[in-house]
Amino acid sequence: MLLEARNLRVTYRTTEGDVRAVDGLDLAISESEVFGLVGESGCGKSTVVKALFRLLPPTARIEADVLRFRDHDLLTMAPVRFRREILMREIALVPQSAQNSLNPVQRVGPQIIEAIRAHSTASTAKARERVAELFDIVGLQSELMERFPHQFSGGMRQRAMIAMALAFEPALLVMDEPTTGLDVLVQERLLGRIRKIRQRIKSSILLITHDIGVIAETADRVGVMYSGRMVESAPTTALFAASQHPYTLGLKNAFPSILELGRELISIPGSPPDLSNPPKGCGFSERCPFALETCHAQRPALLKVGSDHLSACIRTAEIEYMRDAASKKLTWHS
Amino acid sequence: MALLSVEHLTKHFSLGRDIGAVLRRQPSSWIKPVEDVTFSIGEGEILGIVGESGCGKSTTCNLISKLDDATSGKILFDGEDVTHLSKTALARYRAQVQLIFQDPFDSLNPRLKVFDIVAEAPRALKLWDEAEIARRVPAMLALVGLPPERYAQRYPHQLSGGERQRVGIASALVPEPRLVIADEPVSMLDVSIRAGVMDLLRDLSTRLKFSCLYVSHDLSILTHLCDRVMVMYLGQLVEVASSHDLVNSPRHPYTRALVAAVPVPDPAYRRQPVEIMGELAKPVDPPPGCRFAPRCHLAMPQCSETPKMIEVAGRHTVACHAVVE
Repeated sequence: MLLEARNLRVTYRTTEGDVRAVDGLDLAISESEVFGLVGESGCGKSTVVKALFRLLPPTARIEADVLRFRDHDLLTMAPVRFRREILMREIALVPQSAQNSLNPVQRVGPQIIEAIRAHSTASTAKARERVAELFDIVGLQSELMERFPHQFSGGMRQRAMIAMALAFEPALLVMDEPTTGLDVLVQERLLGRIRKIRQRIKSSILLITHDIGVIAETADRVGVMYSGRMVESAPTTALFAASQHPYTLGLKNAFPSILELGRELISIPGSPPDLSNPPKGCGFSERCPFALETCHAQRPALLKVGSDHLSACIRTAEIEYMRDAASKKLTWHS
Repeated sequence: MALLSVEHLTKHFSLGRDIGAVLRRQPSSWIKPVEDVTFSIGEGEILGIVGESGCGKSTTCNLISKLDDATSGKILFDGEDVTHLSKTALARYRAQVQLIFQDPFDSLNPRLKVFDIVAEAPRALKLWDEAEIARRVPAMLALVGLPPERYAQRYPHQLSGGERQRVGIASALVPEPRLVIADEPVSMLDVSIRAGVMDLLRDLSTRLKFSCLYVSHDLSILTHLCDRVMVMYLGQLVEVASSHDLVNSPRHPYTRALVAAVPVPDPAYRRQPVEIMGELAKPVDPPPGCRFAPRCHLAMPQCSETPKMIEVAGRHTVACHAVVE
């Protein structure tokens, strides 16, 4: 296992009490796979990234039963050592709105050279050679190294950030909402590029997004997050073909597809729970049409429901019935 | 009869000249976000506009809602020319043409309660007296799924994104407009909530009998919601068709690329290859002719002349020399 988190909890201390943004997350990513993490705003997916990269503010507390990257215990590792030995070399991040993450007053190439030299002993000339190679991998011409970020389009800036993250061929590349804010055609090209990068580099990718269309096309395995927890995880084909959790069923109902124009879209009633006052039981119980008394009181564990398929729902045994009922609008909006 | 017809609508902005350009006697540059656009919206119809950033979809909305004046061309509303309006006529027009904005977090006044936000337009347009407003606003809140007894006295910060967008819809609909212009109204909302807001808009358009111009960059949302969709590229209208025809038989090479690029939530689906070259330009001093030609794999010499919109099937029009041949 490349990355393993068990019962990961991240709590923000605020003036209105503690907010638990990640509340017992289980996550496992294997070598050379693309793991897609989907969830809506406020489900805690970005906090997971911050926890992994130690980017949490001092008001946040991070706890876990296990938080391991290969044989490093990320929980106890000193931040200095993490930055020197793990960051960039083993795990690299392409941040959210990466298009705006470059320094506007410095040429793009030198910025990446600087990043490489900060994490290694490479000479400037060696680093420059490496940047040219990286530009080739992400599909940018090497002449562009001498340009400023404003001379790049949004998609090109995004690719430059990916090039920087790939500098040391990290074992895990984390991309936080890489396609958000890009035009469809630019997004299509970027996803094509990510697929090409995978053929050349054997890094695993953790792809965080709210777009299940992007997940369907890119990920090998998917994890669905809701209210700070993983509610379902499975290989991509299994997750779409045989969804197990009512939230996943609801998400699929609500997502439009140009292949099924006649299909009625069904929204999920209500809104996600307030994390400063989280429900005692299942986080989805307030919005779930299948919720029982126990769902509001007791938290379901993430259990195995098929090969490599986990789901956190106590009514898993009745999945056939739930799947059938979930496709009807009246089930959700009565 | 069409509720709104737009004929040869054009908007050019001057970028101005710096002192160097003046001394060198260079002409100033022009951004041409909308160029010779002609279309119409029928009574009760939901018409979508799709395109990438800079395609002129938002400028087109601004021109129709009279937030900006057209450089040339004509806008006819209910048969009447509204391209140039006096102040009083403009107020009358604004009551009939309302906007729903993209960002439900920024577009509501944080100091006003929901009731007052929804009452703002009728008050500003002096449509009714307070008694009438006190009757109509709660009714409208109920209609958009916000029971007035629970929501009327709340402030925007006490609402979720989906609830705020419903407030935005209520304030657009309370003056009983005949045309609603919605510019990316769900793009900031979570997927699970989006469908509800789209349903609401569709349902209310039949019940309250208004037409809707719905702008989005997301083709899958548009084709689910709209009767017809028009595709714009760098200020030019390239194709108009029913949602079904646009997705299943797109004709313009740009539309084909756009349809092929839409992510589909089905891991088994294999997409058509996207045939498009180069990067998206800005509509600054565009050369004459089809603006898509530099990225088009079908481009030919005639493309330096602007192609006309030609009907290729019932209610399906395309502007492309290569396709028409």
